[in-house]
This record gives sequence, structure tokens and C-alpha cells, in this order.
Amino acid sequence: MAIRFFDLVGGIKKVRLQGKRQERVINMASARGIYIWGIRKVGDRIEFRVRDSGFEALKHIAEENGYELEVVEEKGFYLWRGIIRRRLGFIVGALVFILALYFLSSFVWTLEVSGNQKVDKNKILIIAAKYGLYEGAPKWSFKRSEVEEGLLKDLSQLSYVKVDIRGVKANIEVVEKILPDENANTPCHLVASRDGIVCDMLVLQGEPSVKIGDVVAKGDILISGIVFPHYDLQEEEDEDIPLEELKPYTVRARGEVKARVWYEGYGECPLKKEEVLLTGKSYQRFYFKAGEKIFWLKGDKKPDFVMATRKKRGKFIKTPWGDWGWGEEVWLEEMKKTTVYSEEEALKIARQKALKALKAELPRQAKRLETKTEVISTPGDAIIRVKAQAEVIENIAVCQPIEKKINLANW
Amino acid sequence: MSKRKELVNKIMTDFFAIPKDLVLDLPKITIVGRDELYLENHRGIIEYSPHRIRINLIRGFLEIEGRDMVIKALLAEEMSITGEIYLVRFMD
Repeated sequence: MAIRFFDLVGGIKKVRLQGKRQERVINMASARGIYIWGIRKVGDRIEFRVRDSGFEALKHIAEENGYELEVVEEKGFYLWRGIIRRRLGFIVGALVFILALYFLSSFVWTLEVSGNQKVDKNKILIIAAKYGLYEGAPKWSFKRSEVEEGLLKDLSQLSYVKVDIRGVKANIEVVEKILPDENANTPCHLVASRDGIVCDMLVLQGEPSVKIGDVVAKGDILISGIVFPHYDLQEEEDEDIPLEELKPYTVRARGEVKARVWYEGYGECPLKKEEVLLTGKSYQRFYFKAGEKIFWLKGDKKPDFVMATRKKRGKFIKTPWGDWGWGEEVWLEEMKKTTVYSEEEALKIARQKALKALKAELPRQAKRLETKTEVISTPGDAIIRVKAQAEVIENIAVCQPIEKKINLANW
Repeated sequence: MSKRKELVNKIMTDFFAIPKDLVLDLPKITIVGRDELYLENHRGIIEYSPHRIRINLIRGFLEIEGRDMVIKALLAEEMSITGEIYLVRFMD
């Protein structure tokens, strides 16, 4: 089909060949690479089709061998030239219409948000606009995956975003995260938030699964939200206890579990410390840049500083001949300062740092039992390392929703 | 192609199991139903009429008899024929 179309673009001729043994001409033509098709015998003449490009060569062969070649029919777009010239306005209009349609369809004209319940629609739209998707945005100016990733990154309440573009309509489909509701009465366990030793427990609801003095690891269940009904079977042997009442049920575990936990902080101080400080001396240079060339207006020599940092700023315009504009350089002299600490001083500094790091770790309301610091570096080291440790009593119980997957009915 | 060279080629292609239509320029004919015939490796048309077509091959020729036969396409080495085909015969 496509080949037929391109034949029409070039033009096709249907020709009639007269004379004896016309097969000879056909053989010669096909041997020379002229494509011939639709060979048909009409009376004593042969009719076939040939491309315009091969017609001249065919005519030449036929005349050389004394055959008569007659063109019966011509087909091709070039024959429509007259029509095209007469209806030029119409054709140009049609082309402009198609182009306009194509151009306008490469924009996003309507933008919708679906799937949002708590997150404000406008918030989503504003963030989508930040990544290039807004009403009237050309489709080539944004990438779908970038918008999706940007929305997910900027809106932490969303767990899934899909940007669907259909023609000029774009739909942002979002799925919000379902966060476990802390205040509701959903069944949950109380689990340990840190490693520690349990030293006080208060159970309001649920089944305690640790006792005072137990060592617990992070994530261990302290008070279970799954409760097994207690029945003394021997006592109530005669009574018919309904099976339903024997089944375990789930509650929201409540209570407080205080435990001894440890926090650590680390600090170090080298005995010899090298620092780079600014001396306060500075040197300013101005220049005009024209492409590759730089004209110094002030300070055409480099400053004779041993160590320096350079700050650059300026305004340049990008041209085909390089960057043009004004620039300024400020050189700031630097110097190295070496501080030597004695071991006691270094230890003091390291200890202070360790305690500071420890303090940053500690929760505010925690009751501190004792704090101790410990030197962990060996005496010969160039750096004094100190570890500070605090023992604290705090409530380590945190809520963890019970997964619905556990099918209690099978117990 | 001399008889001897042809014989050597034939033995070689048999030994290496190479398709003969590629190496020996032997004709390859495909007939679809009763009304379409494709022929590769031909050497020109000897005679064409709606009821009989004779085609030159590397050795001998092929005679096709039928009714209302049309050469649908003709290339230097391939051709396709449509029409009602009655008979395909090899001749020397």
C-alpha cells in the first residue's frame, strides 16, 4: 500500500506495446532494472504499467528495437497541479487548520485532581505547577515522571501519584497515605522504643508480656493488645461456656512502662590542631571581560599572599563571542594556625564535646540517674576520644497498631 | 555453466546442506492456492499469453498453463503471476 502511494507521488504510466514478440522488450527492460507490473494481454498487444522514472528508458528500448509504445493512461499527483493552483487558498487553509489543531493540542488545557480527600486540591495544583504542569502548559515543557516524583517528594501525605495525560486533558490521580490513627480505639500493642531494663510498669489495658527487671530490646512487645479470656475450666466444668467467649480479642493496650535506658555521646580533640584563619587583609580587583580577553581596571597584578581564597562576582552577558561584562575579584589572605593542647586540655575539650553530644541526644523530660565519661583512646594516640554515657529512666512504651492480617478466628 | 562445474557445485551443496536456490541459482516456485504463483531466479519471459506463459530458467524452461493469467509484477530475478493455473511443467 505504501509503495503504491509513493508510485503515485512519482507518477505511473500505463503503456501499450505493439509488434511481434513483445516479451523481448519486457525482458530487456526488467534486465535493466525497470520495474514493470500488471502485464496483461489485450488482443495482440501487451499492456503494462511502469513508473514515470523508468518510462524514458523503456521508450528508448522499444524504439531501438522497432516497437511502438503507446501511453494509455497516466496517474500521479503531478497531474493535479492545475487543481491545486486553482484551489490554493482552500488547501493552504486546510493545512493551517491541521497545523493549528496539532499545535493547540500540544498544550494541557484542563487539569484535574482526583483521589484527594484531606490534601487540598489547590496545594497539589500549586506543586504540580512548580514542576511545570499547569493549565495552559505546553506538553514539551514538563516530564510526567518528574511531576510525579516532585509531588511525592513535596507532599509527604501522598503515597502514590499518577499523572495521566489524554489529549488536552491532564488528570493528577493521587492516593493519600493512611496514617494509623493514634487517638482512635484501634487495637494496638505497646512496644519498646529503645533497649533497656524494665523498672516500673503500669498496665491500664491489655496483657503485660514483660515484668519488672526484664531486659527488652527495641521493638519487643511490652503490653500486648491481644487478650486471652481467663477461665478456670475446672471450676466451671459443668457450665456451658459459649465458645465465642473463649476466643481471644484485641484491645488498645494502655499503660506506662518505665525502663532504664542508656544514651551515649562522643567527643574528640586532637593534641595538635591546624586551622585556617583569615588574617583580615584583602585585595580587590576589577576587570572588564570581552570574550576571551580580560582588561584589568584595578589591581592588574595578583596579590602576593601566601595563602588566599578568592571570591568572584560579576555580571556577564552570553554572546556568540564569549561572555561580556564586568567582574570583581576579592582576595582574602589566609593563614594557618596551629594550636597545641596539653593532654589535660584536650581531655577537657573532648569531654565537653561528648557531654554536649549526649545532651543533644537526651529527651527533655527524662530523669537522669547518672552520667559518666570514659576515655576510649589509648594513651599514645594523637587524638583524645571520650565517650559520655547517661543512664536514664523513661517511658519506653509506644503504640504499634496490630496488623489486621492476624486472623483471630482461627485460634 | 559447464556440466562438470554444475555437478561439483551440486555435490558441495548436498554435502554442506546449503539451500540450492541460493548457490546454484535454481528456480524457487511458490504457489498459493490455485491463483497465485511466485517464481524466483528466472531468466526472462519466452512467451506470454493469457492461457500460456513460458519462462526461461537457468536450464530449460517452465511452462505454465491456465486461464486469464496476468504477470502481476516483474523484477530482474523475481516475478509473480495471478490467474487460474492449471498446470506447471518443466521442459528442456
